[in-house]
Amino acid sequence: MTQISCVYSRTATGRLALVFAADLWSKLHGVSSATASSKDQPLHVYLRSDPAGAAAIEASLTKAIGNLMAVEANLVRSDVLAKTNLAPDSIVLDSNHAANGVIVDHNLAFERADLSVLFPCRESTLLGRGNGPILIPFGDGQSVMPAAQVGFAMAKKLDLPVVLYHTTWTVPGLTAADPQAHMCASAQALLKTLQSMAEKSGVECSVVVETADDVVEGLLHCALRQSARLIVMSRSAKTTIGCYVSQTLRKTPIPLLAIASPRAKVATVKNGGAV
Amino acid sequence: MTNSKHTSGQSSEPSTNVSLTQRLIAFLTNPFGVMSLVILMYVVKATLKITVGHQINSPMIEGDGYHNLADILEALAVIVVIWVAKRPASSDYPFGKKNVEFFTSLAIGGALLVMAVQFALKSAVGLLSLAPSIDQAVRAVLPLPVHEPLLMSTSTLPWVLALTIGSVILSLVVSRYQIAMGKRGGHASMIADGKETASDGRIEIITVIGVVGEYLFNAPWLEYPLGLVVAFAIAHTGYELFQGGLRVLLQHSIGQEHEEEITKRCLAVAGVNKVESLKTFQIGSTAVCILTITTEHRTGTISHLKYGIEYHIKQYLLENGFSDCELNVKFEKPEPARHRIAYAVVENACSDGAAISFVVAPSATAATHIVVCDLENGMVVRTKQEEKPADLASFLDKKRVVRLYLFTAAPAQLPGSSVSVLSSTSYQAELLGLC
Repeated sequence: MTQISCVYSRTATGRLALVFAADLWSKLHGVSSATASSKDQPLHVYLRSDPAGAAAIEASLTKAIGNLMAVEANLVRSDVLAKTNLAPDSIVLDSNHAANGVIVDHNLAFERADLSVLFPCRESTLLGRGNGPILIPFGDGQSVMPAAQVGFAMAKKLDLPVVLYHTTWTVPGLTAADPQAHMCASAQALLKTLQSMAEKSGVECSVVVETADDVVEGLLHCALRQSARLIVMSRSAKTTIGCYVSQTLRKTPIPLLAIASPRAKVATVKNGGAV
Repeated sequence: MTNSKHTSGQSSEPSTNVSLTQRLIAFLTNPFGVMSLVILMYVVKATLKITVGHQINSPMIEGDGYHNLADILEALAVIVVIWVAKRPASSDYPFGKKNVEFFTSLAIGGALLVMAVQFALKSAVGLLSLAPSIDQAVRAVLPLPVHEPLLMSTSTLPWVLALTIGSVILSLVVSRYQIAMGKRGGHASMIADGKETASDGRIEIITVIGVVGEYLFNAPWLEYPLGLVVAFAIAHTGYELFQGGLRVLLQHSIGQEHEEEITKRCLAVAGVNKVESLKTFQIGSTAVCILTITTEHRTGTISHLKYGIEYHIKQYLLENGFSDCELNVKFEKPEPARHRIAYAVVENACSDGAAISFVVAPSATAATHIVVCDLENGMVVRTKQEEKPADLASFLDKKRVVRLYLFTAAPAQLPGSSVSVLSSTSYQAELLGLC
């Protein structure tokens, strides 16, 4: 299963993201009880290191009080355990973001296209409002595939249905009332592929195709009608302006998992990890 | 449509049939069509009952026929009420005049209550007549009506039975049809009239039981206890109609169970913190809901949130007997729960002098500055960095700070201060939302 992680921040949104990540981690690892533990794939909590800050404190002291970064790590660890109710061996503190896996965070989704970020949208749990499907919007390109893989895997693990969403322009001259008839050939082929993926994954899957005026509005309205609990979208490698993921992130009231853009990932690797 | 003019007679025949069937269906489902059939039923019942009652000299049947004449007037009144209720909304009547139908509910409910009392009284008098001594004792205290026993010859029995059984069947079938069509079209007056017709049918059933009991089993008393049961059922229907009409006209809420379900469905929509207030009432068969939702989301998200809330409420109301709904959803931010905290910090001036940063100090003594933070909903919305004062405790009290944070596992409390000193888990300003 995908590695789940979050960024430590002692703010209101940081606390929500931490609680959300811990809840998601527990659900994905089938650990529901209090003081849950899983040594195989722990919850990764990123704690940014700041040696310069530690040095500034040390300079102000007349008497050394030990390794400040270690003190901070201990305090953070205690804080995380208190807020999440997880077992100590379930948490690993890291100083850097992992390139793979899903990071639960309120800010990174807007800042880092090279990371797969789950924007919890101020929700404290994924299924706290009751079970609902995972919505996977798709267009006519293959960029949906990473989102579909993660989405189907999560749906299978969480025993949730999946709704595949597509909105299309009407074909001029075609009077068919069924929006599926207006889908282009590549989108129809992709739909078949996604449906067969769902079948292979053993996930209950339904399809909504419509001719919405606006893509983002259409997919958000569909998610709200269906009481979707998560939207999974891939960032396209080809889109340069008008990314639907970024637009949806700004408007969604539902948690959204934005899968990293392959182009941004490559760029980050080329830059040696610098963004 | 114009092409049908040129088609042959043979091929146009099915289309005529279809249009006739469609017209018939349209007539049978139209409220005016339904009420026309109801009037026709009452005309047939009244004519037969008055004629046969007069012929066989039965005041009971003849009287029932005149009662049916009154039912015709009631049905005509229902038609007028439906016509008024269907008038479109105007600037003077923004919700239309749908509530007029509930005056009919009120009137019919009241009439049924009166009818139930009369019928119960008749049945009670019938029961008392079986015990003359008790009857006499009760009559000495209460002014009861005179008991009129069923007087019928063997020759008239088949006529009476045929007429009453036929009337029962008509009443029950037509009432069901009326109620179903009333529910479908959202016409409360038609539903009320249908319930009144059903009550008529129940009374007629008791008449049949009385006749059959007397002539076949020699047990005329049978109709009286049953009459009391039916009187109770009619009173119940009358009370429901009366109360329902009154509730709508006085804009009573649509019901606690509906309000609880609406709240539950709102809270199931992602982004909704709380249903701050919910007011509901009914206009005709339209439910009106005025909600105030608490959410932390911003305007761009709220429009989608509104769509989701309205979709789920509308779906629920339409599934639960309302023909339409008017929703007024307002959004407000949660109470900010404003308060002030502070961090004791060490200022860390950068070598180039371009920026000044700070880190949280491990003790008040080590601090060079105090960062006072205004919090709203747990978020730092404003910070102000002050030089550490000589008297830190009174400074914090003056600034109304409730908590002071230090970067240490076990912070010492400030002597002479009510401010709590707590542990900051990190010394990094960025991780604490301070920059």
